[in-house]
Amino acid sequence: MKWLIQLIVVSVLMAMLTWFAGWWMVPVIGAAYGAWAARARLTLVTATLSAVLGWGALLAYDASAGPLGRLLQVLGTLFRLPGVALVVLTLAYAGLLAVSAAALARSLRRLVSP
Amino acid sequence: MTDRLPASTVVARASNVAVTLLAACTLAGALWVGIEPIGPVPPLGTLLDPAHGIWAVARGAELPRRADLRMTGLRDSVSVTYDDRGVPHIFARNDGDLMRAFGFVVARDRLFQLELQTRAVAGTLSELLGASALELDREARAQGLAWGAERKWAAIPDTSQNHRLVTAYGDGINAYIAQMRPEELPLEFRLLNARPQRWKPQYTYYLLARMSLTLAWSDNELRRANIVALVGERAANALFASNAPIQEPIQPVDGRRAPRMTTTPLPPPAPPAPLDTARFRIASALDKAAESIALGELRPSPNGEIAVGSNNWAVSPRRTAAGHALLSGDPHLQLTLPSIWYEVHLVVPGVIDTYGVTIPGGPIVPIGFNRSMAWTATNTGADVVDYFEETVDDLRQPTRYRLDGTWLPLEKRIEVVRGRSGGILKTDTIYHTHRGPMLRAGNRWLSRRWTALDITDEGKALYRADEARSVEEWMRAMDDYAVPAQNFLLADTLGHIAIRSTGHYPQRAGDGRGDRILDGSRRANDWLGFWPTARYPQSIDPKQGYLASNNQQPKDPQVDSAYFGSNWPAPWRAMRINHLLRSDSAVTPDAMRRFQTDAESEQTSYFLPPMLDAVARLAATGSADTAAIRGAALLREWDGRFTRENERAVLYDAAMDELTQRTWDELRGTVQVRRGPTPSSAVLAQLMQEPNSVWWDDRSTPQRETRDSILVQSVAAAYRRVTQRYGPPGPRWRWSLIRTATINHLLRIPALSRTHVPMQSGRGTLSPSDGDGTHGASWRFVVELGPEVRAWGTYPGGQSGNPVSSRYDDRLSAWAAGTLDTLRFPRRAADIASPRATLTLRPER
Repeated sequence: MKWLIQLIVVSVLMAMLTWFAGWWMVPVIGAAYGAWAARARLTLVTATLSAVLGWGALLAYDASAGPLGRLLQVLGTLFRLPGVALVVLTLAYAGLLAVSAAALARSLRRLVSP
Repeated sequence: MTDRLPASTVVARASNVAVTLLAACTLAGALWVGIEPIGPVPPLGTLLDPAHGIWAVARGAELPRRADLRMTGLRDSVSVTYDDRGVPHIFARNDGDLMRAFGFVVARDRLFQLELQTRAVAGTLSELLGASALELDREARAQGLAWGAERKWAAIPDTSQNHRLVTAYGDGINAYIAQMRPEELPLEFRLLNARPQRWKPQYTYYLLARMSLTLAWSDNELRRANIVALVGERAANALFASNAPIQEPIQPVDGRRAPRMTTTPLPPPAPPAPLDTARFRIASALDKAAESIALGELRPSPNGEIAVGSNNWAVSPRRTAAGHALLSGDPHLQLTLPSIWYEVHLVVPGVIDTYGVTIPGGPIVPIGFNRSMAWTATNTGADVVDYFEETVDDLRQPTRYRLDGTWLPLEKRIEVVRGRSGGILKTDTIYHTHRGPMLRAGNRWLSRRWTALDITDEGKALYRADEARSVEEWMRAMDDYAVPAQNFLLADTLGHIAIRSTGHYPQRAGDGRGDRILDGSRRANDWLGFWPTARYPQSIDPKQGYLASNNQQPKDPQVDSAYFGSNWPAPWRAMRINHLLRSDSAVTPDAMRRFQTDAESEQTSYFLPPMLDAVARLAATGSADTAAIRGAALLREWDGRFTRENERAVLYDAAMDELTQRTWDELRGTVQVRRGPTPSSAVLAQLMQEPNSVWWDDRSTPQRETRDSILVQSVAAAYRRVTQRYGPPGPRWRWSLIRTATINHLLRIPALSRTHVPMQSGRGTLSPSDGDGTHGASWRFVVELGPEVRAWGTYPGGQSGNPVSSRYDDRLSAWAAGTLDTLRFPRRAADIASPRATLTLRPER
């Protein structure tokens, strides 16, 4: 339960701070979470999942507010990829930013105070 | 003695360090690709960000149903209501507010287009697109378009109405850029990782310069130089004559009901002269410069024939079913997505109530209507560009040029082209004589005099014209209009129709011709001035009850022999529309619409019967080749129409290609310039009257060919070519599979373009199309000037420049089908039924 709450809170933070500040908030939140939960289990999983969920929620909002399907079609043709591959790439990129930042912060925390 | 750590701790620490390093490297890599572009791929962070990146384009695709914004500089609130077709109806209380709102709504829908077309003229595309655009930028700067536009703008008094309105329009664009929400940044900017630049009012004049390049540019001098080298002066004069061999002029000739055809035989070609390579280099250099940024209304197809062209016609009330004047506008240009046009309705009660199309960046309605009248234009094709060969003191780095025995200093303009990062890519020096910028070609320097680079103010005339209440008032308002010269067609609710080829036409010394490179060392060769307005080709309320223009020679030389231009397009379209208008004494708006995509061509009657007769004559002797007989049999089945479902038009089209190439073999074998050394099909029609002319002979064969043998060969070759390419006669010969439109995105990105759009058009039809289908009807409309003005129209594309918007290409299918939408022309915003969106702009508190 505690883990789930953490996941939801971090996901909401990922979405909100991306919305208000930009994509670079994902590694910032990831790092903060990694340092804060350095001793916890599932720290990296939580960081990754919350980034994916946070950005996924924003994509869902984009879809509800405009023709995301048509955009996927255009981008797919443009980049010569299936449209869905770009969605996967977007979410994977968010996950990568979050997990690498969280892992770095967690490791540094452990090095500083073993 | 030191304590040794347990091995497990060492391993754990080492492992932790390794994880730290790995995480640091991964994060660094992810951040790096997030911040830095990789080749053509923009930084992934800004691109993939679902709130501000490329995904946000979906959120900005459609206009918000309601928006209420504050704008600096407004005196009163402005109401903008978008109708069901996405057309903004702007209601303001004064002209300054109207222009601010106008700039705002245009930027809202077409921001990237504004940016790209401005940069194309300014020669700063490289700053947006990178070094790949360097040559385009250098050529644009060498043309001097931006230089000319800046001079025009600087000469307009700050206190003038024009200055005030152009500035207000620019303020509107900048206001939009300043308050633009993240999702509204156009897709193209995101892909290029760029932001829009701030709009300067003089960019409006850049746009005018760009249109002048498209519509008022000619290089007949250069084409002529090639032809003279190949067939001699006399023949060149006849092939690219200053008077069209078939006369169907814009200014009607009283009592004439059929075109007048020249019966003079074509002089024979002289033996080929040694090629003047310097001239070829000049031709090539200038031609390349013109091609680079021209939108190209009158661009010849690969076979040399000018395959696209604009049309307009108007009918007097006595020849219409409802007794109201009718007007049809059909300007042909390069087809792009988004379209060159943006539809708009501008209202300031009691001052202006104008509907029509505008070019983004231009705060006027060059083609449209108001409550009293309608106006439209076709290009005149007049010769308003001359080249002068200059004598300079140093071929490599000239500082002076010679004029009437005196050395005069050259003006220097240093042009620095920068790349995306701001670094210098190239520095060029452009030299100017008193005539204009110079271009170097081999060992020669040419200066260019062009009306587009003169200091004139078209904006003032066009503003007044948009507000005119009658044909007479409109013509008076446009007396000062200079460039690009246009055949402006007018009709009003009083029942008047009129046409005038309006613009500056140079008066030249000597025989007045401008189709040869002139000696720049003599001031006597300079332009003497411009034609007086009274001499412009024009007609008001002619006896025939209708008027039309289709880019043809505007005045019959028997009426006025003054040089106006040369190498006129064949008047097939003019002949066709005049035929249609003569045959209908109760024209309806729907008939006007049908005429716009009429499937027949007057050209066929000049070529098809002689082709069939020639094959029949040879077949009777038993010596005709089977392909010719089969081809002729199929052509006999043809109804002469270029309809989509037609399966014979393809054969005629191929036969005409073959005929053109085989007839003008004398012009082959040289450096091919874009404008092509092939005479117009009207000259070919003139030659058809001489069955034994030496021009029919194919120099590469030992025997002497005649007209009939070339016609038979053409039919046979066409049959072979078409069957080889499309198989035996059948569904693959359908015209809709062969003649299609290609509407490219401004950056030619295939995913954002629309290709293979089936067209009903052919050689010489009112809606002609060239081989690649990139040019065509850019806006079609019909206006009925009754007590309540009614109008219908469409263009290929849509109002929005956002490729994801439903308004990006929503008009394409109607355009391809030849149908027109009813245009809403409300008196009040409240009269717009089911508006798509509304926008209220309020003054800053």
